[in-house]
Amino acid sequence: MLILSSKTALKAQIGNLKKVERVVKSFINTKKNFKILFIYYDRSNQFRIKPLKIKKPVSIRSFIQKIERRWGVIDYLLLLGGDRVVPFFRLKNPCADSDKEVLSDSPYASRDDDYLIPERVCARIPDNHSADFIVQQLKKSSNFSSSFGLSARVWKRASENVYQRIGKKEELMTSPPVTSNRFKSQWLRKKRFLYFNVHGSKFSSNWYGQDGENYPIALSPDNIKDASGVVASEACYGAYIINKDEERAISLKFLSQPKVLGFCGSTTIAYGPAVPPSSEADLLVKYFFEYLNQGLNLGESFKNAKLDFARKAIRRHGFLDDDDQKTLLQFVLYGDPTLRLKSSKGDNRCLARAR
Amino acid sequence: MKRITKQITRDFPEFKGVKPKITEKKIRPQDKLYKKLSLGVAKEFRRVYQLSFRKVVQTVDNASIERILNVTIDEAGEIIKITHSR
Repeated sequence: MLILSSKTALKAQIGNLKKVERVVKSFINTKKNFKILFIYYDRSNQFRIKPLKIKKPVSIRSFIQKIERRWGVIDYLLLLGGDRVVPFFRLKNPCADSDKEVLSDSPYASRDDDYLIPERVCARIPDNHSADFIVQQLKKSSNFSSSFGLSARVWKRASENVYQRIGKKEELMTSPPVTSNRFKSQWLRKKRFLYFNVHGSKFSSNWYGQDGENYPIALSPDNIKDASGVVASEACYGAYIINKDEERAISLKFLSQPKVLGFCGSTTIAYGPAVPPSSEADLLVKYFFEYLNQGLNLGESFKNAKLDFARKAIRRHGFLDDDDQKTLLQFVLYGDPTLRLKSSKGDNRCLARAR
Repeated sequence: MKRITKQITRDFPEFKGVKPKITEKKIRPQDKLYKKLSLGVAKEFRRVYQLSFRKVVQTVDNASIERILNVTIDEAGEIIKITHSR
């Protein structure tokens, strides 16, 4: 595993780096099953690869490939910091929607120029302008079994099809009637999975439900207290974090919770069906949950979900269309990719632990 | 296309009155993808059509959300899939 960051850029975001560096060192020592290297791409390194002076995604990707050639295969890549530290790629949007570009980590996960299909696990720990926030992500654990799901009412059937992988479809809540001011934070407590199939906006900090022409606030950052588990959201811009902090991005608010292990979501406008069968975001999240339930760690589950998603879409139609391609590029994983949920079979408990 | 538009506005009345943008898409064989996914030989050149219904809605707190409904149709005029923006 390669943990990659920029010393200058990370320092500009969080200040003193000593605490983070100490915890990363401890993280490396804890993960006995991984050979882990922590490198700042803008500082000298043991491979004598020339440090980068500018933080361009293409140059950073090339830097990673150079390390791989000298160090060996990199199966896991953990980007430490947000867009101002390790920038997202700005890729051409395959869809004709209002997104000028797709913010993506996919090229970091791929060795060749076909970015749609990942070849390595790639996850990111955003900085949220806080050293403590990063440190927290590297020390997480959780041990619960039940799930929570919230869907826009218009997509209830489609969402049930996904939620059945992690709970009973009767448990799935819809918005409306659920709204932010009726939302009970305790619904998010002691959960293994948190699933959201709702609307999102680039500019609003809230997620929205839908019933006909009614778009109520389904969830706001203030609703999130003592949440736990792995979060997957299909909301448009659910993982959009540019110039945001935990009070203005639900994804960061979830990650600020000590027992939320990771967040899987979209950086741009996402797509999905109104009814089963699952496709696009629904299908990707469904596979993500399935692999987590099988005991794979977050990173492997995310990578495999993308591979299975691509295979399924191609088997259905013979090709990946614009929506499928955008889905593959826009979904990102935030958090420690090595965490996994122990199978809930047997004692029906899950235990997140380092592998 | 009229038949499809009528069906969509019946099934999804929120898009009633929205004129779809129709795009013809030529799908070339995606050889590299097939190879990377070990899926054998890529399907031949295909032609599909997409009807894209777009509108901007306001949430209760006045946030603007772009609502998109895409309908993909094959050469025989059959709907392959319908997707909604989230």
